[in-house]
Amino acid sequence: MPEISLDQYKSLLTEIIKKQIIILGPDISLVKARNVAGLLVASDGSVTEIKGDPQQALQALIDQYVSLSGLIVKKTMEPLLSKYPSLKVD
Amino acid sequence: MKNLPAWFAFFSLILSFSLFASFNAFAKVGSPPSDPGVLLFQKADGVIFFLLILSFVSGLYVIKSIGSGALNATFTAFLEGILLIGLSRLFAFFSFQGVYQISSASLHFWWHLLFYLGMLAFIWGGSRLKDLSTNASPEKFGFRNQTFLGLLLLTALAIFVFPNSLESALSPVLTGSMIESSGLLHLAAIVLAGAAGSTMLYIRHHWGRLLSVSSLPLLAFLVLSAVQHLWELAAGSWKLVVVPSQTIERVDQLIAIPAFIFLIASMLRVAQVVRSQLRP
Repeated sequence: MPEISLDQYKSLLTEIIKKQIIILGPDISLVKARNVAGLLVASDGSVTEIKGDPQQALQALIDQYVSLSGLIVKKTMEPLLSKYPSLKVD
Repeated sequence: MKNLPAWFAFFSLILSFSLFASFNAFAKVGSPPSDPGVLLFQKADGVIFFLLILSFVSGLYVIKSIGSGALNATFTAFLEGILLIGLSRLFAFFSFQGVYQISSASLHFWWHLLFYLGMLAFIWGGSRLKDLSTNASPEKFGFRNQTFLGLLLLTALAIFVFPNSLESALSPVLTGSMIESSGLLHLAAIVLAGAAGSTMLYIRHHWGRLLSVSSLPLLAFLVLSAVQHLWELAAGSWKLVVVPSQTIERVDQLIAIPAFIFLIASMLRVAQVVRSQLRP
């Protein structure tokens, strides 16, 4: 499996946040994303910087949204995550 | 309009306040204050309307917090459901105050229609949640939601406008008919409340904290609404319990008050979760 680059992680995290903005609205979605340590998020939901392990940031972001919106979030993320089969998320 | 759901809910709120004001005005004019039974009856209705308005304000806060999110289609539908159920009680109240010169059969027909509209709004709200989980591009509060919820409101408005003029045609058809004697109107209400309740169970199993906190109190509200109709079916239509009609109405209120307390609890709990999430 090919490694995922940092830019690809940024792009995936951005897509996840933007998808949540569509569902939960920008206020809640951005607060939850900005709770993730090492993640810098612009006001449109774009991830501008990842400090530290991007895989951990991805898992932490998913956990933030799952704690709020449950299994639905996982379902809505499935099409996004399927683009990167080498990714392992709980 | 960017904040259309909030405007939609705000308009409904203004409408409910106006109806509450007219309710109070009619309550003052409509009956002698010396009758303690009637006073209690009116006070209970007043409490129910107060609870409805409080749950509305909490729901409005949730809608405002979610802003343009697709989840607002659900909350707007739930708020409209609350409004329509409130309107069904207001219609019955107006009839008791003599605003409508209609038979008991017609009164039951019209207020049940309003209750059905409320339940349809709840079911619609639940179906929007299912759409969020299955649709790759979830729909925001757009044309389809506006049209459906707008049609429900227009139908409710028509129900408030036309009863007197349709009475001569409607009452002979309904009075003594199978619809009246079989309790069909109550049975349909129980089925719709059950369908709306199953939506709440779906929310509880599939959604996280944001919505599941509201699902049990909302379910309790819907179950108690179904119990109200079951009581009216048993005592009013099937005469399984033989009591005066006033007793039927008062037991109905005794069930309604906790039902509306559960309703306000559901909205307050979501508002609380939303507020806690907005703190960084």
